[in-house]
Amino acid sequence: MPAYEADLERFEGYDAQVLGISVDSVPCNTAWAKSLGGLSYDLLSDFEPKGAVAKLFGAYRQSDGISERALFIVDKEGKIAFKDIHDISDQPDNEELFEVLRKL
Amino acid sequence: MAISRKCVPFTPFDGELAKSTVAIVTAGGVHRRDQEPFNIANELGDLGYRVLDEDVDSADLMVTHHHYDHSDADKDINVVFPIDVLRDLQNEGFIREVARKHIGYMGYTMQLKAMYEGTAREIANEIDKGSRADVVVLTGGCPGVCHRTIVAVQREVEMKGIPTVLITVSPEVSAQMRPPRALYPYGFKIGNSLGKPGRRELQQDVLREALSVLTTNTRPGSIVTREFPDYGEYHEPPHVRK
Repeated sequence: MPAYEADLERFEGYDAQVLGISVDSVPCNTAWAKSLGGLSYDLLSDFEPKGAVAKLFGAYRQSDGISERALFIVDKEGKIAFKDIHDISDQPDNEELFEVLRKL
Repeated sequence: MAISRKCVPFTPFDGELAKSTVAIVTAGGVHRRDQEPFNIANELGDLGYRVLDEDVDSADLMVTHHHYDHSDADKDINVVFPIDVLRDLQNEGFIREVARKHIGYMGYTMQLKAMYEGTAREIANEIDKGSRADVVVLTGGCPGVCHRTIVAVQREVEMKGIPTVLITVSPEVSAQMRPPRALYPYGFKIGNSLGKPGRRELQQDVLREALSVLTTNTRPGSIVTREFPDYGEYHEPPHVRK
């Protein structure tokens, strides 16, 4: 998440809004953001009904009750323009996202 | 708007190594024992850095960093901060001299924005202002964040017009940040940027090879791999994508 915070200005330059979504509650997300030194973008709670959004995006890990580590770019028509579900220890390169945003 | 990381700042090295003054910057948490240790109690990290003078005694140096195994550096600081090795290269005439100032910082932080836009630029200013360095050699510490932040520092130094070379033991991570120049000593483990403790000849070989990257026609943003059979081990480097 700090990597997206660090590149927030560049995301905004592409008229893109960064949002984080987890299945945790609002207080959990608030505490987590605080533990990262604060985040300038919003964290959304996909908490009740749990994982409903993650399921719609095909990113809910039923066996663990959590969402996958995933990245989506949704265009202004609401279509998914980019989808990347990856290992939690992976650190995707934000430049891949900028490549997609540049072409939208 | 911040520049893309695909745009690599690059200052050509037009000089001769034998006439060059060389500074070291490490993200490995190196500082003098009488300096305030880096704050490892704060999981957000420590955005500070420590200036190390040219005549610093390597025996007076220590590591405060909790995100990599620095037991080898505890035995021989030169594996991440090759100050004695640099002096060796000065004595043999490979470089002209050791710079007046060197920098140690703890590269692990969750405050990446503050690191990139604050600390990295401050370190570059520090090197630019008083080190008299013609060239800067950089090393990382921990496999993930350190090997990213050190490239942020490297890019800032390069933008000051000072050529640099990074010695990375986490090449995939460093590559994401597009280092102006970098050497990967093949199979070296994290915490062994220059090789094993006490192996001075190996450390000299690594540092000579790293500095020699400055005199070759490398592609900015790429990493040169060199094998050092004397290291005698292979450690799989961290991968950014499994």
